[in-house]
Amino acid sequence: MFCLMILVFASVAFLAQDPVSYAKPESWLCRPGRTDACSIDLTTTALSANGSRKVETWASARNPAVDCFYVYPTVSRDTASYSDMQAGDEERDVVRTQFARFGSICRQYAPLYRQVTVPGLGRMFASPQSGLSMNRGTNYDDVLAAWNYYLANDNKGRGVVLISHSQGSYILDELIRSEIDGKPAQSLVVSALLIGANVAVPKGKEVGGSFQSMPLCRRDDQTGCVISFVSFRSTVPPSSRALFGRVGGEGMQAACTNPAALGGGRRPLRGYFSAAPSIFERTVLSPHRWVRQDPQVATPFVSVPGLVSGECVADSLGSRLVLTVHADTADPRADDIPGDIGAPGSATRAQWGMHLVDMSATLGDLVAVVTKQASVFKAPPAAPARPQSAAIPRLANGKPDMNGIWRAFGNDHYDIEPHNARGALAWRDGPVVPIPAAEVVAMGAVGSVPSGRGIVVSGKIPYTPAALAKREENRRDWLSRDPEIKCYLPGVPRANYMPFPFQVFQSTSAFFIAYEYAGATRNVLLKNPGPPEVDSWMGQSVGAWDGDTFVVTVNGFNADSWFDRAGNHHTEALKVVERWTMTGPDHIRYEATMEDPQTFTRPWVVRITLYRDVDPDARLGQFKCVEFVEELLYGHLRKNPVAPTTAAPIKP
Amino acid sequence: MQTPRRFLTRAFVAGVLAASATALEAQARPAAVPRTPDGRPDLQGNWSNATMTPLERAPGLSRALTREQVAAREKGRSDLKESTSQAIDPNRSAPPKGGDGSTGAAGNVGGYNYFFIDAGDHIAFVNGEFRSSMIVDPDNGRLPPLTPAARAWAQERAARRRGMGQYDNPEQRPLAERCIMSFGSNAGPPMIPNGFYNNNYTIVQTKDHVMIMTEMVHDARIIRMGRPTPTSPDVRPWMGVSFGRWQGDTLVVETSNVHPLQVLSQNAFLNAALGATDSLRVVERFHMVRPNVILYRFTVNDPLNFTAPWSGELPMIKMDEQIYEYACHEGNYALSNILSGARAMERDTAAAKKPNPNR
Repeated sequence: MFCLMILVFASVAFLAQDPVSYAKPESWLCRPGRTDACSIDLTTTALSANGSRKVETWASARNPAVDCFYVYPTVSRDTASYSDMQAGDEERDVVRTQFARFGSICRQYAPLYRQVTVPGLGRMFASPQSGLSMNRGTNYDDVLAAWNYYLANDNKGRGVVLISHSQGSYILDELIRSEIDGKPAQSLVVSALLIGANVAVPKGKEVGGSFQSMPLCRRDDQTGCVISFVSFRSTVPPSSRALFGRVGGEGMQAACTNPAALGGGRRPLRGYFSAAPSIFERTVLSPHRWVRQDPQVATPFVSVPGLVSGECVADSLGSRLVLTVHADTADPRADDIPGDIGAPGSATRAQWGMHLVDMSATLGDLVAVVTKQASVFKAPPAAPARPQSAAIPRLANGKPDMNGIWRAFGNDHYDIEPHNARGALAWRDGPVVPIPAAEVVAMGAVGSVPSGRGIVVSGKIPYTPAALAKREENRRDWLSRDPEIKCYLPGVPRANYMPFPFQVFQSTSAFFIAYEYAGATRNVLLKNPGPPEVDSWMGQSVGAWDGDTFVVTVNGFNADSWFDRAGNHHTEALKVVERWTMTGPDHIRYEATMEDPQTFTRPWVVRITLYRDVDPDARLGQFKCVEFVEELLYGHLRKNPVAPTTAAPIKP
Repeated sequence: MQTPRRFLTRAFVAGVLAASATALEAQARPAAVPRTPDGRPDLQGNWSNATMTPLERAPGLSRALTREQVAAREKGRSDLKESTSQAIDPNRSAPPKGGDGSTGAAGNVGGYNYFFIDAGDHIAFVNGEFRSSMIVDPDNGRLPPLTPAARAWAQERAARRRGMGQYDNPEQRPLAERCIMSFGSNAGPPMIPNGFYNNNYTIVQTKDHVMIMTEMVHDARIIRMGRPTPTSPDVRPWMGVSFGRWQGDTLVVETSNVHPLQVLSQNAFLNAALGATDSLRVVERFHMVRPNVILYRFTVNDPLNFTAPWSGELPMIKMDEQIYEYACHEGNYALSNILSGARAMERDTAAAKKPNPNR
């Protein structure tokens, strides 16, 4: 069944994997003021149980007060794991079934993005090592870029409804956490509809799980809130291996807000289903028969009042919107709706539920709630598009004041990609499995590597094949190659997440960083002196303010610094763009985008939080390690070399 | 001597010190200096303290040099620069075995000539005088005598040193050769020009810190403003622990806890060095006399080393050039070469002593 569904789309390889420019009209599926995927016929036939038919027309809003920003679910059938930027029938179809109808409320923005494709999703489930992720990769990077483009160029202080399904919801969940929740942009959000994904909320509470300041919507006149649910049939409850309805974390559960009954309870749902064949609803090859007798419905959409009701249920199986179908086999109307993933009776059904119609089955209710929310939403004062947060210290010139001693948490300096704990950084063959290299055995547990969630936003660094081979070589030959072992200058961004703090000296005319490790320094020039005259370890840094974010462009590197202790490397062509944003008085969100076409197939990003040393007597220590490596580097050149001692066997 | 990887900053604002008449006038009245938003003199920017004036006064000179003495010295420097800037005869013969016999930083085997060196082109001009030494107290312009204890330590170190060859171990080599610190007391305290090159500093001033980065070995001195908080005597960073305060328009910095190997002259672990003792206290005063001149004064009090405190002064001159990365250790082939050269020499000597089996 699944295979039959695959339509052949020309899979155009995405040649240059650069950041997507959302200034290009073709990077959007929908934008206001043009004819595109959102400009479609939404006429609906309402089918009553008694067989009577009523045709409902539909019109877009004339002068909508708010905007909608939509991120679509996994639909792309491109064969690669990430989709290209060519809109296919599948992207247009999902806009048609999930998003177009919101045009009665808002101006519509729907970015095309390089999502994890349907084949990619298969690879993701098949292998935890695939490096594919629902919210870390080009999918997230592209949506973030689109959101930032929208904010900078289109928003102009208007309210915005965030709408997404499945992969789109995992992306927006991350984007809200990083960019919106508790931040100035939150004041723009009318509501967020994160459907078909697990959003965490503490049991019995409305906020404090996935989001710290955006609660669940419990009334339709409530704004700035979140609507989220996953749907399952009443007759096929989620199994223990269900993908939806359960979240990790002590005391957390998956959010469920029934758009037909935000306060709770069971209500009939006002769905809008595709009457024409739909790729997303999987009715392409076998159109759903909505009525027993001919003629079949002639309009592109159909509604079936009273056929389906919904209720949020939370029990040991998970929290989900339970869809109950109230079929009457005697009436001329269909007795069921499409939307399951998996064949009847299969385990897949109890894993995925009614994922394909999460939105179709509730669309009329979602539109009604958002209509009410938009009518009561008060746009924030027009003045600063980025309202200043009072909590952030500022200099006399109004710029965020980053003076202080900072450091990163975590073990990412060992390996910036996600990794398990492992026994050593240097290895040799053992009788059963590899064992730590002789040089590091004596270090025992102190020489082992703690695990890390990874700070590369896309999970894996997008190396060219040759550069990846070099990384593997670097790992094998770590002891002689890692510049940190020799106390060499760390380079950027490695200096910022080493296990040493650094101090920022910032005035209205200067921005200087002194690192504890190796006494490295960077003078971030506020006046661009032009291209760097020489290559250096720490590069030439030129800084400028983008609102409250300090953006530092670093280039003029030599090829000798690394990104971590795991052999990740670059060439002289490296350009790093850092974004330093204070998210509070004691936190900086730090992002660095790496570009080096000789090493990477596309730019990639690391993202970390920097924490202030809040001790009133905080001081930067000194780690001038050059003298500490003299025996390593020069010991063999002594007049009388000191014989290497063998560690005495340790008795238990 | 190690070769610096970076040798781009040869900056010196020529003529500032020589413009004596203007300087005299300027110092006679309070000068308008740039100020930070909180009203302090704004010392930020890049500065050089390169000068021809030495730390200690040569015998027979008075504190102030005459205009003739200054002119002769500056012309001598200028001629040296001129002569070493000439193109070299490509057909010249190899240097004589054992070196050309010259002295100074270039050594006697033909290392750097003055073309590569920037030790200042001018005599320091302070308070209307061209100075023969940085030291102004004691009056004779020379370091006070060492204490008997310090002399004893120096003798002990000399005795140990005599027991081994000077190239036997890396720890015997000077700090600058090992890329640990600049030559002499460049990074301070006190901050004294190294007599060689790259005597450049970057100052950044915030409401609660003054940071002074020394170009050589990129050493950032971090001076905290305000009341000092205690530091364990076991914590001794290379440039000590510094606290600063404003006395009117003068930045006063007091430093203790200086690393015992941070020294006032080019030294190594076993040399008869003036290494900091735990009694060392340094007071430095930064006073901007003109927008492009800071008068830098310092007093060193180390009663375990010296029989009296001593003080000096010299100008720091603003420069409008960039300071580049001085990555010393990363390209330090010199130390390996010095040590392996000594080992090769030892092998040659040993081979020469052995009877030739073919004879």
